[in-house]
Amino acid sequence: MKGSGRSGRETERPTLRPPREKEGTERIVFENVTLGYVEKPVLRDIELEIFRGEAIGIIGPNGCGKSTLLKSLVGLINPLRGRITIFGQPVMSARKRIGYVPQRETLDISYPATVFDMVIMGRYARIGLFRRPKEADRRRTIQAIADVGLTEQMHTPIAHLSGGQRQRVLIARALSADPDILLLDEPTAAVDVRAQREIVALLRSLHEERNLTILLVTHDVNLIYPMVDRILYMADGRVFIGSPGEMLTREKLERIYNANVIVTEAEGRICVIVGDVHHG
Amino acid sequence: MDSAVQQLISDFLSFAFMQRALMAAVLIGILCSVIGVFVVVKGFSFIGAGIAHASFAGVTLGFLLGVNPMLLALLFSLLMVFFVGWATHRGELKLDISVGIFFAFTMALAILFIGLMKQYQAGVYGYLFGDILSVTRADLRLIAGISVFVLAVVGLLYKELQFITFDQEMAEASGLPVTFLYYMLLVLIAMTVVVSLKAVGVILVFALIVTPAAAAYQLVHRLTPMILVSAAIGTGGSLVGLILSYIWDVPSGATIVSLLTLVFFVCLWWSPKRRRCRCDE
Repeated sequence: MKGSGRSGRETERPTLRPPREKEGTERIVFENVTLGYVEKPVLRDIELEIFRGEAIGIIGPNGCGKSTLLKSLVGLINPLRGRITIFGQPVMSARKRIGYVPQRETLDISYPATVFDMVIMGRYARIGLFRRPKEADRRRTIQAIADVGLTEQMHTPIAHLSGGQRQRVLIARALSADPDILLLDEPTAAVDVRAQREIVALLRSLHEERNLTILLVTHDVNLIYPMVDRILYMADGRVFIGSPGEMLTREKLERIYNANVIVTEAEGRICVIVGDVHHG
Repeated sequence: MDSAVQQLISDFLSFAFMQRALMAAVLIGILCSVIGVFVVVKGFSFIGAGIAHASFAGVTLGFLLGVNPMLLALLFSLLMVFFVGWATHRGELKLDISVGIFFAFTMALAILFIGLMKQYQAGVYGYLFGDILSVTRADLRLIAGISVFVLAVVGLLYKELQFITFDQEMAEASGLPVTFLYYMLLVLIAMTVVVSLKAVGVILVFALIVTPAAAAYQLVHRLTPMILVSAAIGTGGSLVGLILSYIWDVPSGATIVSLLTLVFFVCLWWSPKRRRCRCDE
Protein backbone atom coordinates (compact mmCIF):
# COMPACT_ATOMS: atom_id res chain seq x y z
CA MET A 1 0.00 0.00 0.00
CA LYS A 2 1.19 3.47 -0.62
CA GLY A 3 0.06 6.83 0.62
CA SER A 4 -3.09 7.67 2.44
CA GLY A 5 -6.09 9.84 1.83
CA ARG A 6 -5.54 9.79 -1.94
CA SER A 7 -8.50 9.95 -4.25
CA GLY A 8 -7.07 7.22 -6.44
CA ARG A 9 -7.79 9.22 -9.60
CA GLU A 10 -4.51 8.26 -11.18
CA THR A 11 -4.92 4.57 -10.45
CA GLU A 12 -5.21 2.41 -13.57
CA ARG A 13 -7.87 -0.29 -13.42
CA PRO A 14 -6.93 -3.61 -14.95
CA THR A 15 -8.74 -4.19 -18.26
CA LEU A 16 -11.19 -7.01 -17.65
CA ARG A 17 -13.05 -7.08 -20.95
CA PRO A 18 -13.45 -5.13 -24.16
CA PRO A 19 -15.05 -1.67 -23.81
CA ARG A 20 -18.85 -1.74 -23.94
CA GLU A 21 -20.73 -0.64 -27.04
CA LYS A 22 -21.90 2.88 -26.29
CA GLU A 23 -23.37 3.78 -29.64
CA GLY A 24 -26.30 1.33 -29.77
CA THR A 25 -29.90 2.26 -28.97
CA GLU A 26 -30.11 -0.35 -26.23
CA ARG A 27 -29.63 1.66 -23.10
CA ILE A 28 -31.41 2.51 -19.87
CA VAL A 29 -32.33 6.18 -19.93
CA PHE A 30 -33.52 8.42 -17.08
CA GLU A 31 -34.82 11.71 -18.45
CA ASN A 32 -35.29 14.39 -15.80
CA VAL A 33 -36.65 11.78 -13.38
CA THR A 34 -37.72 12.54 -9.82
CA LEU A 35 -38.33 9.57 -7.53
CA GLY A 36 -39.78 9.17 -4.06
CA TYR A 37 -43.00 10.30 -2.43
CA VAL A 38 -45.15 13.31 -3.20
CA GLU A 39 -44.35 14.96 0.11
CA LYS A 40 -40.72 13.92 0.03
CA PRO A 41 -38.85 13.32 -3.24
CA VAL A 42 -35.82 11.11 -2.59
CA LEU A 43 -33.95 11.63 -5.86
CA ARG A 44 -34.41 14.70 -8.06
CA ASP A 45 -33.81 15.50 -11.72
CA ILE A 46 -31.94 12.33 -12.60
CA GLU A 47 -30.35 12.44 -16.05
CA LEU A 48 -28.67 9.14 -16.71
CA GLU A 49 -27.73 6.76 -19.50
CA ILE A 50 -26.56 3.23 -18.84
CA PHE A 51 -25.40 1.22 -21.82
CA ARG A 52 -26.10 -2.39 -22.58
CA GLY A 53 -23.46 -4.64 -21.08
CA GLU A 54 -22.25 -2.15 -18.50
CA ALA A 55 -21.75 -3.04 -14.85
CA ILE A 56 -22.65 -0.16 -12.55
CA GLY A 57 -21.93 -0.06 -8.83
CA ILE A 58 -24.39 2.11 -6.87
CA ILE A 59 -23.11 3.65 -3.65
CA GLY A 60 -24.36 6.29 -1.26
CA PRO A 61 -25.25 6.93 2.39
CA ASN A 62 -28.12 5.00 4.01
CA GLY A 63 -31.53 6.24 2.91
CA CYS A 64 -30.18 8.15 -0.09
CA GLY A 65 -32.42 6.30 -2.56
CA LYS A 66 -30.30 3.41 -3.87
CA SER A 67 -33.07 0.82 -3.52
CA THR A 68 -35.63 3.36 -4.76
CA LEU A 69 -33.68 3.72 -8.00
CA LEU A 70 -33.64 -0.06 -8.53
CA LYS A 71 -37.34 -0.36 -7.72
CA SER A 72 -38.18 2.31 -10.26
CA LEU A 73 -36.66 0.08 -12.95
CA VAL A 74 -39.06 -2.80 -12.19
CA GLY A 75 -42.16 -0.66 -11.80
CA LEU A 76 -42.43 -0.96 -8.01
CA ILE A 77 -42.08 2.82 -7.75
CA ASN A 78 -43.37 5.19 -10.42
CA PRO A 79 -41.47 8.40 -11.14
CA LEU A 80 -43.06 11.54 -9.73
CA ARG A 81 -41.75 13.32 -12.81
CA GLY A 82 -39.77 12.48 -15.94
CA ARG A 83 -39.48 9.31 -17.99
CA ILE A 84 -37.56 6.06 -17.70
CA THR A 85 -37.00 3.87 -20.77
CA ILE A 86 -35.27 0.53 -20.86
CA PHE A 87 -33.82 -0.48 -24.21
CA GLY A 88 -36.32 1.85 -25.89
CA GLN A 89 -39.37 0.54 -24.00
CA PRO A 90 -41.33 1.88 -21.02
CA VAL A 91 -40.59 0.15 -17.72
CA MET A 92 -43.81 -1.87 -17.61
CA SER A 93 -43.14 -3.39 -21.03
CA ALA A 94 -39.46 -4.02 -20.40
CA ARG A 95 -39.56 -5.52 -16.93
CA LYS A 96 -39.72 -9.08 -18.18
CA ARG A 97 -36.18 -8.47 -19.46
CA ILE A 98 -35.03 -7.63 -15.94
CA GLY A 99 -33.91 -9.94 -13.16
CA TYR A 100 -34.35 -8.24 -9.78
CA VAL A 101 -32.54 -9.50 -6.70
CA PRO A 102 -34.01 -7.77 -3.63
CA GLN A 103 -32.31 -7.51 -0.24
CA ARG A 104 -32.00 -10.94 1.36
CA GLU A 105 -34.00 -9.87 4.43
CA THR A 106 -37.12 -9.79 2.26
CA LEU A 107 -36.90 -13.56 1.76
CA ASP A 108 -39.46 -15.42 3.88
CA ILE A 109 -37.52 -18.54 4.80
CA SER A 110 -40.46 -20.00 6.70
CA TYR A 111 -42.34 -20.47 3.40
CA PRO A 112 -42.75 -24.13 2.40
CA ALA A 113 -40.57 -24.15 -0.71
CA THR A 114 -37.41 -25.82 -1.94
CA VAL A 115 -34.66 -24.16 -3.95
CA PHE A 116 -36.27 -25.46 -7.16
CA ASP A 117 -39.72 -24.18 -6.18
CA MET A 118 -38.34 -20.73 -5.52
CA VAL A 119 -36.16 -20.45 -8.61
CA ILE A 120 -38.90 -21.55 -11.02
CA MET A 121 -41.04 -18.64 -9.74
CA GLY A 122 -38.72 -16.40 -11.74
CA ARG A 123 -40.26 -17.88 -14.89
CA TYR A 124 -43.92 -17.52 -13.92
CA ALA A 125 -44.46 -14.13 -15.55
CA ARG A 126 -42.99 -15.49 -18.80
CA ILE A 127 -45.16 -18.59 -18.69
CA GLY A 128 -48.33 -16.50 -18.38
CA LEU A 129 -51.57 -16.76 -16.40
CA PHE A 130 -53.43 -20.09 -16.20
CA ARG A 131 -50.52 -21.99 -17.83
CA ARG A 132 -48.38 -24.63 -16.19
CA PRO A 133 -44.57 -24.72 -16.40
CA LYS A 134 -43.34 -26.86 -19.27
CA GLU A 135 -40.28 -29.07 -19.53
CA ALA A 136 -38.29 -26.17 -21.03
CA ASP A 137 -39.10 -24.06 -17.95
CA ARG A 138 -37.89 -26.84 -15.68
CA ARG A 139 -34.68 -27.23 -17.70
CA ARG A 140 -34.03 -23.49 -17.53
CA THR A 141 -34.65 -23.53 -13.78
CA ILE A 142 -32.22 -26.40 -13.28
CA GLN A 143 -29.64 -24.53 -15.37
CA ALA A 144 -30.06 -21.34 -13.31
CA ILE A 145 -29.57 -23.37 -10.11
CA ALA A 146 -26.43 -24.94 -11.62
CA ASP A 147 -25.16 -21.48 -12.65
CA VAL A 148 -25.08 -20.40 -9.01
CA GLY A 149 -23.58 -23.70 -7.86
CA LEU A 150 -26.53 -25.04 -5.92
CA THR A 151 -27.33 -28.22 -7.88
CA GLU A 152 -26.80 -30.39 -4.80
CA GLN A 153 -29.25 -28.23 -2.83
CA MET A 154 -31.92 -28.20 -5.58
CA HIS A 155 -34.49 -30.03 -3.43
CA THR A 156 -33.42 -28.55 -0.10
CA PRO A 157 -36.01 -26.41 1.72
CA ILE A 158 -34.96 -22.77 1.66
CA ALA A 159 -35.13 -22.68 5.47
CA HIS A 160 -32.16 -25.07 5.59
CA LEU A 161 -29.81 -22.90 3.49
CA SER A 162 -26.99 -20.71 4.78
CA GLY A 163 -27.06 -16.93 4.25
CA GLY A 164 -24.75 -17.11 1.24
CA GLN A 165 -26.77 -19.93 -0.31
CA ARG A 166 -30.00 -17.96 0.13
CA GLN A 167 -28.42 -15.03 -1.64
CA ARG A 168 -27.43 -17.31 -4.52
CA VAL A 169 -30.97 -18.69 -4.72
CA LEU A 170 -32.25 -15.13 -5.12
CA ILE A 171 -29.76 -14.62 -7.95
CA ALA A 172 -30.77 -17.94 -9.54
CA ARG A 173 -34.43 -16.88 -9.46
CA ALA A 174 -33.53 -13.69 -11.30
CA LEU A 175 -31.42 -15.63 -13.82
CA SER A 176 -34.14 -18.18 -14.52
CA ALA A 177 -36.10 -15.47 -16.35
CA ASP A 178 -33.25 -15.11 -18.89
CA PRO A 179 -32.82 -11.40 -18.15
CA ASP A 180 -30.79 -8.89 -20.14
CA ILE A 181 -30.45 -6.70 -17.06
CA LEU A 182 -29.68 -7.79 -13.51
CA LEU A 183 -30.50 -5.48 -10.60
CA LEU A 184 -29.01 -6.46 -7.26
CA ASP A 185 -29.78 -4.76 -3.94
CA GLU A 186 -26.90 -5.34 -1.53
CA PRO A 187 -26.21 -8.94 -2.58
CA THR A 188 -23.15 -9.20 -0.34
CA ALA A 189 -24.68 -7.76 2.83
CA ALA A 190 -24.71 -9.91 5.96
CA VAL A 191 -22.93 -12.91 4.47
CA ASP A 192 -19.48 -14.17 5.43
CA VAL A 193 -16.34 -13.11 3.56
CA ARG A 194 -16.06 -16.34 1.59
CA ALA A 195 -19.70 -16.13 0.47
CA GLN A 196 -19.16 -12.47 -0.49
CA ARG A 197 -16.26 -13.38 -2.74
CA GLU A 198 -18.16 -16.29 -4.29
CA ILE A 199 -21.13 -14.03 -5.06
CA VAL A 200 -18.94 -11.35 -6.66
CA ALA A 201 -17.06 -13.99 -8.71
CA LEU A 202 -20.40 -15.36 -9.88
CA LEU A 203 -21.67 -11.92 -10.88
CA ARG A 204 -18.43 -11.14 -12.64
CA SER A 205 -18.58 -14.31 -14.71
CA LEU A 206 -22.27 -13.71 -15.55
CA HIS A 207 -21.45 -10.18 -16.63
CA GLU A 208 -18.54 -11.17 -18.80
CA GLU A 209 -19.90 -14.36 -20.32
CA ARG A 210 -23.47 -13.24 -21.01
CA ASN A 211 -22.95 -9.52 -21.50
CA LEU A 212 -25.56 -8.87 -18.79
CA THR A 213 -26.14 -5.26 -17.85
CA ILE A 214 -25.70 -5.13 -14.07
CA LEU A 215 -26.72 -2.49 -11.55
CA LEU A 216 -25.46 -3.38 -8.11
CA VAL A 217 -26.18 -1.56 -4.86
CA THR A 218 -23.46 -2.07 -2.30
CA HIS A 219 -21.65 -0.61 0.68
CA ASP A 220 -18.50 -2.61 0.01
CA VAL A 221 -16.67 -0.82 -2.78
CA ASN A 222 -13.53 -2.93 -2.41
CA LEU A 223 -15.49 -6.04 -3.23
CA ILE A 224 -17.20 -4.80 -6.36
CA TYR A 225 -14.47 -2.53 -7.67
CA PRO A 226 -12.91 -5.16 -9.95
CA MET A 227 -16.17 -5.86 -11.79
CA VAL A 228 -17.79 -2.47 -12.32
CA ASP A 229 -17.32 -0.17 -15.32
CA ARG A 230 -18.75 2.91 -13.66
CA ILE A 231 -19.92 3.96 -10.23
CA LEU A 232 -23.15 5.78 -9.51
CA TYR A 233 -22.88 7.90 -6.38
CA MET A 234 -25.97 9.34 -4.67
CA ALA A 235 -26.18 12.02 -2.03
CA ASP A 236 -28.58 14.83 -1.08
CA GLY A 237 -31.13 13.72 -3.65
CA ARG A 238 -28.65 13.92 -6.52
CA VAL A 239 -27.07 11.26 -8.68
CA PHE A 240 -23.51 11.39 -10.03
CA ILE A 241 -21.92 8.84 -12.33
CA GLY A 242 -18.34 8.36 -13.35
CA SER A 243 -15.39 6.02 -13.42
CA PRO A 244 -14.39 4.35 -10.16
CA GLY A 245 -11.39 6.65 -10.01
CA GLU A 246 -13.62 9.71 -10.22
CA MET A 247 -16.23 8.51 -7.77
CA LEU A 248 -14.19 6.74 -5.11
CA THR A 249 -12.82 9.84 -3.47
CA ARG A 250 -12.22 10.23 0.23
CA GLU A 251 -14.79 13.00 0.53
CA LYS A 252 -17.60 10.94 -1.01
CA LEU A 253 -16.72 7.78 0.85
CA GLU A 254 -16.53 9.53 4.19
CA ARG A 255 -20.10 10.69 3.67
CA ILE A 256 -21.21 7.14 2.88
CA TYR A 257 -19.56 5.49 5.85
CA ASN A 258 -19.78 8.46 8.21
CA ALA A 259 -16.21 7.63 9.18
CA ASN A 260 -12.61 8.51 8.38
CA VAL A 261 -11.63 6.85 5.11
CA ILE A 262 -8.33 6.19 3.44
CA VAL A 263 -8.35 5.63 -0.30
CA THR A 264 -5.15 3.98 -1.40
CA GLU A 265 -3.84 1.55 -3.94
CA ALA A 266 -2.87 -2.07 -3.51
CA GLU A 267 -1.86 -4.55 -6.20
CA GLY A 268 -2.82 -2.10 -8.93
CA ARG A 269 -6.33 -1.38 -7.70
CA ILE A 270 -8.10 1.14 -5.51
CA CYS A 271 -8.46 0.05 -1.92
CA VAL A 272 -10.72 1.75 0.60
CA ILE A 273 -9.94 1.50 4.30
CA VAL A 274 -12.65 2.63 6.71
CA GLY A 275 -11.35 4.03 9.99
CA ASP A 276 -12.92 5.61 13.06
CA VAL A 277 -16.59 6.48 12.92
CA HIS A 278 -17.47 10.18 13.04
CA HIS A 279 -19.37 11.29 16.10
CA GLY A 280 -21.82 14.12 16.36
CA MET B 1 -69.56 -52.82 19.49
CA ASP B 2 -70.40 -54.29 16.08
CA SER B 3 -74.06 -53.55 16.61
CA ALA B 4 -73.25 -49.95 17.54
CA VAL B 5 -71.27 -49.52 14.33
CA GLN B 6 -74.06 -51.18 12.35
CA GLN B 7 -76.57 -48.83 13.98
CA LEU B 8 -74.38 -45.84 13.06
CA ILE B 9 -74.02 -46.95 9.44
CA SER B 10 -77.74 -47.68 9.30
CA ASP B 11 -78.52 -44.15 10.61
CA PHE B 12 -76.24 -42.52 8.08
CA LEU B 13 -77.76 -44.55 5.25
CA SER B 14 -81.35 -44.13 6.38
CA PHE B 15 -81.57 -40.43 7.13
CA ALA B 16 -81.24 -37.95 4.27
CA PHE B 17 -80.14 -35.18 6.66
CA MET B 18 -77.24 -37.37 7.80
CA GLN B 19 -76.15 -38.03 4.22
CA ARG B 20 -76.29 -34.32 3.44
CA ALA B 21 -74.30 -33.57 6.59
CA LEU B 22 -71.64 -36.11 5.57
CA MET B 23 -71.36 -34.65 2.07
CA ALA B 24 -71.22 -31.11 3.45
CA ALA B 25 -68.50 -32.17 5.91
CA VAL B 26 -66.38 -33.62 3.09
CA LEU B 27 -66.84 -30.60 0.79
CA ILE B 28 -66.26 -27.99 3.48
CA GLY B 29 -63.36 -30.00 4.90
CA ILE B 30 -61.60 -29.99 1.52
CA LEU B 31 -62.47 -26.39 0.63
CA CYS B 32 -61.49 -24.80 3.94
CA SER B 33 -58.27 -26.75 4.29
CA VAL B 34 -57.10 -25.97 0.72
CA ILE B 35 -57.80 -22.24 0.90
CA GLY B 36 -56.44 -22.33 4.46
CA VAL B 37 -52.98 -23.18 3.14
CA PHE B 38 -52.79 -19.84 1.30
CA VAL B 39 -54.21 -18.06 4.36
CA VAL B 40 -51.54 -19.56 6.62
CA VAL B 41 -48.53 -19.02 4.34
CA LYS B 42 -49.62 -15.46 3.50
CA GLY B 43 -50.26 -14.62 7.17
CA PHE B 44 -53.91 -13.79 6.52
CA SER B 45 -55.36 -15.47 9.64
CA PHE B 46 -56.67 -12.26 11.16
CA ILE B 47 -58.25 -11.08 7.92
CA GLY B 48 -60.07 -14.40 7.66
CA ALA B 49 -61.42 -14.05 11.17
CA GLY B 50 -62.52 -10.54 10.24
CA ILE B 51 -64.33 -11.82 7.15
CA ALA B 52 -66.18 -14.40 9.25
CA HIS B 53 -67.43 -11.71 11.62
CA ALA B 54 -68.34 -9.35 8.77
CA SER B 55 -70.43 -12.13 7.24
CA PHE B 56 -72.35 -12.44 10.50
CA ALA B 57 -73.49 -8.83 10.16
CA GLY B 58 -74.85 -9.83 6.73
CA VAL B 59 -76.62 -12.86 8.22
CA THR B 60 -78.34 -10.80 10.90
CA LEU B 61 -79.38 -8.13 8.38
CA GLY B 62 -80.77 -10.90 6.19
CA PHE B 63 -82.94 -12.16 9.07
CA LEU B 64 -84.01 -8.59 9.90
CA LEU B 65 -85.06 -7.79 6.32
CA GLY B 66 -86.31 -11.26 5.41
CA VAL B 67 -83.65 -11.61 2.69
CA ASN B 68 -81.49 -14.71 2.10
CA PRO B 69 -78.87 -14.43 4.90
CA MET B 70 -76.17 -16.16 2.81
CA LEU B 71 -76.53 -13.53 0.10
CA LEU B 72 -76.03 -10.65 2.51
CA ALA B 73 -73.25 -12.55 4.30
CA LEU B 74 -71.41 -12.75 0.97
CA LEU B 75 -72.04 -9.06 0.31
CA PHE B 76 -70.69 -7.99 3.70
CA SER B 77 -67.67 -10.28 3.33
CA LEU B 78 -66.84 -8.82 -0.06
CA LEU B 79 -67.28 -5.28 1.27
CA MET B 80 -64.81 -6.09 4.03
CA VAL B 81 -62.40 -7.67 1.54
CA PHE B 82 -62.42 -4.63 -0.71
CA PHE B 83 -62.14 -2.15 2.14
CA VAL B 84 -59.22 -4.00 3.71
CA GLY B 85 -57.57 -4.64 0.33
CA TRP B 86 -57.97 -1.00 -0.72
CA ALA B 87 -56.71 0.46 2.55
CA THR B 88 -53.76 -1.92 2.75
CA HIS B 89 -52.79 -1.81 -0.91
CA ARG B 90 -52.71 1.99 -0.94
CA GLY B 91 -50.51 1.86 2.15
CA GLU B 92 -53.02 3.98 4.05
CA LEU B 93 -53.39 1.51 6.90
CA LYS B 94 -51.63 -1.59 8.13
CA LEU B 95 -53.54 -4.81 7.51
CA ASP B 96 -54.20 -5.58 11.19
CA ILE B 97 -55.51 -2.07 11.82
CA SER B 98 -57.93 -2.05 8.87
CA VAL B 99 -59.15 -5.56 9.76
CA GLY B 100 -59.48 -4.61 13.43
CA ILE B 101 -61.63 -1.58 12.61
CA PHE B 102 -63.95 -3.49 10.27
CA PHE B 103 -64.05 -6.54 12.58
CA ALA B 104 -65.40 -4.47 15.48
CA PHE B 105 -67.68 -2.38 13.26
CA THR B 106 -69.39 -5.39 11.66
CA MET B 107 -69.86 -7.09 15.03
CA ALA B 108 -71.44 -3.88 16.30
CA LEU B 109 -73.75 -3.89 13.26
CA ALA B 110 -74.69 -7.54 13.93
CA ILE B 111 -75.60 -6.73 17.54
CA LEU B 112 -77.61 -3.70 16.37
CA PHE B 113 -79.51 -5.80 13.80
CA ILE B 114 -80.28 -8.46 16.43
CA GLY B 115 -81.49 -5.69 18.75
CA LEU B 116 -83.81 -4.37 16.04
CA MET B 117 -85.48 -7.76 15.51
CA LYS B 118 -89.07 -7.79 16.74
CA GLN B 119 -88.94 -11.43 17.78
CA TYR B 120 -86.39 -14.08 18.74
CA GLN B 121 -84.74 -15.61 15.65
CA ALA B 122 -83.26 -19.02 16.47
CA GLY B 123 -81.81 -19.23 12.95
CA VAL B 124 -79.35 -16.41 13.73
CA TYR B 125 -77.76 -18.52 16.46
CA GLY B 126 -77.56 -21.42 14.02
CA TYR B 127 -75.21 -19.29 11.92
CA LEU B 128 -73.28 -18.21 14.99
CA PHE B 129 -72.49 -21.73 16.21
CA GLY B 130 -73.25 -23.76 13.07
CA ASP B 131 -75.43 -26.83 12.63
CA ILE B 132 -74.24 -29.18 9.94
CA LEU B 133 -77.20 -31.52 10.50
CA SER B 134 -79.57 -28.79 9.34
CA VAL B 135 -77.93 -28.43 5.90
CA THR B 136 -80.67 -28.55 3.26
CA ARG B 137 -80.48 -29.79 -0.35
CA ALA B 138 -80.28 -26.17 -1.53
CA ASP B 139 -77.46 -25.46 0.94
CA LEU B 140 -75.62 -28.54 -0.28
CA ARG B 141 -75.94 -27.45 -3.92
CA LEU B 142 -74.55 -24.03 -2.98
CA ILE B 143 -71.68 -25.58 -1.01
CA ALA B 144 -70.86 -27.89 -3.95
CA GLY B 145 -71.05 -25.09 -6.52
CA ILE B 146 -68.86 -22.69 -4.53
CA SER B 147 -66.40 -25.49 -3.69
CA VAL B 148 -65.97 -26.41 -7.36
CA PHE B 149 -65.55 -22.74 -8.32
CA VAL B 150 -63.00 -21.91 -5.59
CA LEU B 151 -60.97 -25.09 -6.12
CA ALA B 152 -60.98 -24.56 -9.91
CA VAL B 153 -59.68 -21.00 -9.53
CA VAL B 154 -57.01 -22.21 -7.10
CA GLY B 155 -56.00 -24.87 -9.64
CA LEU B 156 -55.87 -22.40 -12.53
CA LEU B 157 -53.97 -19.71 -10.63
CA TYR B 158 -51.91 -22.05 -8.48
CA LYS B 159 -48.46 -20.83 -9.51
CA GLU B 160 -49.48 -17.17 -9.30
CA LEU B 161 -51.05 -17.63 -5.84
CA GLN B 162 -47.90 -19.43 -4.77
CA PHE B 163 -45.75 -16.52 -5.93
CA ILE B 164 -47.81 -13.72 -4.33
CA THR B 165 -48.11 -15.58 -1.03
CA PHE B 166 -44.34 -16.12 -1.03
CA ASP B 167 -43.07 -12.76 -2.24
CA GLN B 168 -45.67 -10.25 -3.41
CA GLU B 169 -43.18 -7.53 -4.26
CA MET B 170 -41.10 -9.84 -6.43
CA ALA B 171 -44.22 -11.16 -8.13
CA GLU B 172 -45.12 -7.58 -9.01
CA ALA B 173 -41.59 -6.76 -10.14
CA SER B 174 -41.62 -9.77 -12.45
CA GLY B 175 -44.76 -8.50 -14.17
CA LEU B 176 -47.59 -10.58 -12.64
CA PRO B 177 -50.95 -8.77 -12.14
CA VAL B 178 -50.51 -8.68 -8.38
CA THR B 179 -53.45 -6.42 -7.54
CA PHE B 180 -55.88 -8.72 -9.37
CA LEU B 181 -54.37 -11.81 -7.72
CA TYR B 182 -54.40 -10.21 -4.25
CA TYR B 183 -58.11 -9.36 -4.47
CA MET B 184 -58.89 -12.73 -6.05
CA LEU B 185 -57.33 -14.51 -3.08
CA LEU B 186 -59.36 -12.37 -0.66
CA VAL B 187 -62.55 -13.06 -2.61
CA LEU B 188 -61.86 -16.82 -2.54
CA ILE B 189 -61.37 -16.63 1.24
CA ALA B 190 -64.63 -14.69 1.60
CA MET B 191 -66.57 -17.23 -0.49
CA THR B 192 -65.10 -20.10 1.52
CA VAL B 193 -66.06 -18.49 4.82
CA VAL B 194 -69.62 -17.71 3.74
CA VAL B 195 -70.36 -21.14 2.29
CA SER B 196 -69.13 -22.80 5.50
CA LEU B 197 -71.18 -20.62 7.85
CA LYS B 198 -74.26 -22.78 8.15
CA ALA B 199 -72.27 -25.92 8.81
CA VAL B 200 -69.75 -24.74 11.41
CA GLY B 201 -70.80 -21.20 12.29
CA VAL B 202 -69.13 -17.80 12.37
CA ILE B 203 -67.08 -18.50 15.46
CA LEU B 204 -65.65 -21.84 14.36
CA VAL B 205 -65.32 -21.45 10.60
CA PHE B 206 -61.94 -19.90 10.79
CA ALA B 207 -60.56 -22.72 12.89
CA LEU B 208 -61.58 -25.05 10.06
CA ILE B 209 -59.61 -22.89 7.63
CA VAL B 210 -56.47 -22.29 9.67
CA THR B 211 -56.02 -25.41 11.80
CA PRO B 212 -55.63 -28.15 9.12
CA ALA B 213 -53.22 -25.95 7.14
CA ALA B 214 -51.23 -25.08 10.28
CA ALA B 215 -51.05 -28.80 11.13
CA ALA B 216 -49.90 -29.68 7.60
CA TYR B 217 -47.27 -26.93 7.74
CA GLN B 218 -45.62 -28.79 10.62
CA LEU B 219 -45.12 -31.90 8.52
CA VAL B 220 -43.97 -30.84 5.04
CA HIS B 221 -41.58 -28.45 3.32
CA ARG B 222 -43.38 -27.77 0.02
CA LEU B 223 -46.66 -26.11 -0.88
CA THR B 224 -48.29 -28.89 -2.94
CA PRO B 225 -47.77 -31.60 -0.29
CA MET B 226 -48.96 -29.07 2.30
CA ILE B 227 -52.23 -28.67 0.39
CA LEU B 228 -52.71 -32.44 0.10
CA VAL B 229 -51.94 -33.10 3.78
CA SER B 230 -54.13 -30.17 4.84
CA ALA B 231 -57.03 -31.47 2.74
CA ALA B 232 -56.61 -34.95 4.23
CA ILE B 233 -56.57 -33.56 7.79
CA GLY B 234 -59.50 -31.20 7.13
CA THR B 235 -61.67 -33.83 5.47
CA GLY B 236 -60.79 -36.60 7.93
CA GLY B 237 -61.27 -34.30 10.91
CA SER B 238 -64.64 -33.08 9.64
CA LEU B 239 -65.94 -36.61 8.99
CA VAL B 240 -64.69 -38.13 12.24
CA GLY B 241 -65.83 -35.05 14.18
CA LEU B 242 -69.31 -35.31 12.69
CA ILE B 243 -69.60 -39.00 13.52
CA LEU B 244 -68.32 -38.47 17.08
CA SER B 245 -70.74 -35.59 17.62
CA TYR B 246 -73.59 -37.84 16.50
CA ILE B 247 -72.52 -40.67 18.79
CA TRP B 248 -71.97 -38.43 21.80
CA ASP B 249 -74.90 -36.14 20.95
CA VAL B 250 -72.83 -32.96 21.20
CA PRO B 251 -72.56 -29.93 18.81
CA SER B 252 -70.90 -31.01 15.56
CA GLY B 253 -68.96 -27.80 14.74
CA ALA B 254 -67.34 -27.69 18.15
CA THR B 255 -66.46 -31.40 17.97
CA ILE B 256 -64.86 -31.01 14.53
CA VAL B 257 -62.79 -28.01 15.58
CA SER B 258 -61.72 -29.63 18.86
CA LEU B 259 -60.62 -32.75 16.99
CA LEU B 260 -58.67 -30.69 14.43
CA THR B 261 -56.97 -28.77 17.22
CA LEU B 262 -55.94 -32.06 18.81
CA VAL B 263 -54.51 -33.18 15.44
CA PHE B 264 -52.65 -29.86 15.19
CA PHE B 265 -50.95 -30.40 18.55
CA VAL B 266 -50.00 -33.97 17.61
CA CYS B 267 -48.47 -32.64 14.35
CA LEU B 268 -46.67 -29.88 16.25
CA TRP B 269 -45.20 -32.42 18.68
CA TRP B 270 -44.27 -34.81 15.87
CA SER B 271 -43.03 -32.15 13.47
CA PRO B 272 -39.73 -32.90 11.74
CA LYS B 273 -39.21 -29.12 11.66
CA ARG B 274 -39.24 -28.95 15.45
CA ARG B 275 -36.91 -31.93 15.70
CA ARG B 276 -34.53 -30.18 13.31
CA CYS B 277 -34.71 -27.01 15.41
CA ARG B 278 -33.77 -29.00 18.50
CA CYS B 279 -30.85 -30.62 16.62
CA ASP B 280 -29.67 -27.21 15.40
CA GLU B 281 -29.60 -25.96 18.97
